[in-house]
Amino acid sequence: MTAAACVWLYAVVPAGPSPGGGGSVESALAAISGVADEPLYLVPGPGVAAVAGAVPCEDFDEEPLRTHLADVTWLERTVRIHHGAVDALVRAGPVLPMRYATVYREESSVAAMLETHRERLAAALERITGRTEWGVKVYLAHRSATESDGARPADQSSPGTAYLLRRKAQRDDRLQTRQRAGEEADRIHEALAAAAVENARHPLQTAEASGRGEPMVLNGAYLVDDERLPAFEKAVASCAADHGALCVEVTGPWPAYSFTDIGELPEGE
Amino acid sequence: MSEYSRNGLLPSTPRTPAAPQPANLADLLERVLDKGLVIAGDIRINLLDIELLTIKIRLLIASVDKAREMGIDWWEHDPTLSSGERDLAGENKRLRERLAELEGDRTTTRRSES
Repeated sequence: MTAAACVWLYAVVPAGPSPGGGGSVESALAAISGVADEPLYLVPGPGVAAVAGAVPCEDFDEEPLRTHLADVTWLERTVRIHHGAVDALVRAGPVLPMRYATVYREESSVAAMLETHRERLAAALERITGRTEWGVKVYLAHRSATESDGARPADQSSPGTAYLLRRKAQRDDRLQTRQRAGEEADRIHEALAAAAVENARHPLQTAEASGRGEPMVLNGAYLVDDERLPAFEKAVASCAADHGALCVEVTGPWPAYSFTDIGELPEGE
Repeated sequence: MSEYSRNGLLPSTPRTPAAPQPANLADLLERVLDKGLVIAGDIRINLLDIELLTIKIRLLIASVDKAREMGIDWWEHDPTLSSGERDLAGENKRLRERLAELEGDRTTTRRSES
């Protein structure tokens, strides 16, 4: 049984010295190891290079990989390693993160892929150069006073009717609050998008996923010019100030995961 | 860039973790599994399976205590989740060896002949 190697891809970076002037990609690579604890290396291509790791096929070919993915512990560990590698590279210059579990059987197919997509990859890298992804999640703050107070006491109806009326009013309040929050979230997203170069809205997370009791009303990602970060922060702060009923939470800096689209079709449809 | 807080500029509630946490797992999964550059490699895995896993892992890790409070505890009965690999890894290994045996010396891990 020979230990055949597959190739796991972490990211695509510009070939040659980094324009950002940060640490070199090579020195960043030296400090990290990959999903199979393997050292990382560059597969050079025309103008762009892939950050790769040689992983054992017996764990990473289709069948064994699928088996591993069914193990949540394994999945979580490798997701964190994959992200850790991408995140470490960001300090050395622009990085296009690969989707998790992009695996090749031959290094030559990686080189061929770089060749085929070189223009789009270079364009995508250029688009994110000097820019950083920030996440902004907005939650509906815990129920407002008016909501928990319920309706103002209705006229002298019977206790049963009064109760039902009160319940209905509470429900209406809650619906209205949600709806209002949704509209406010749209406005916040617009304001933040205006301070960013690109934006994306991710699906709202459940309370279990976010780890917070309050419902999430916005899960946005924004690609922000590093130079314009103060303006973006100001936009976040003023949104938070303008919308007292909402909690605004910022995450990041992220590698530009949400802005890696290189398109399926040639430009211009 | 490193000066900016990773945990939010506006910690609105004390729930916000004080220690610099690399990233909330749900945020991480949503990016690493659902986003990123998609170029088909030689190995195809079913993303739907992963999505399902994502949901499970989100539920599992985000807040086990909270979920328990809410009466969600199915993972404790789900063999893929309850105790990590448990016997599954061993079983998988045995099955794979058996498969290899049955297939004689045809390689099972590599498909490309050329």
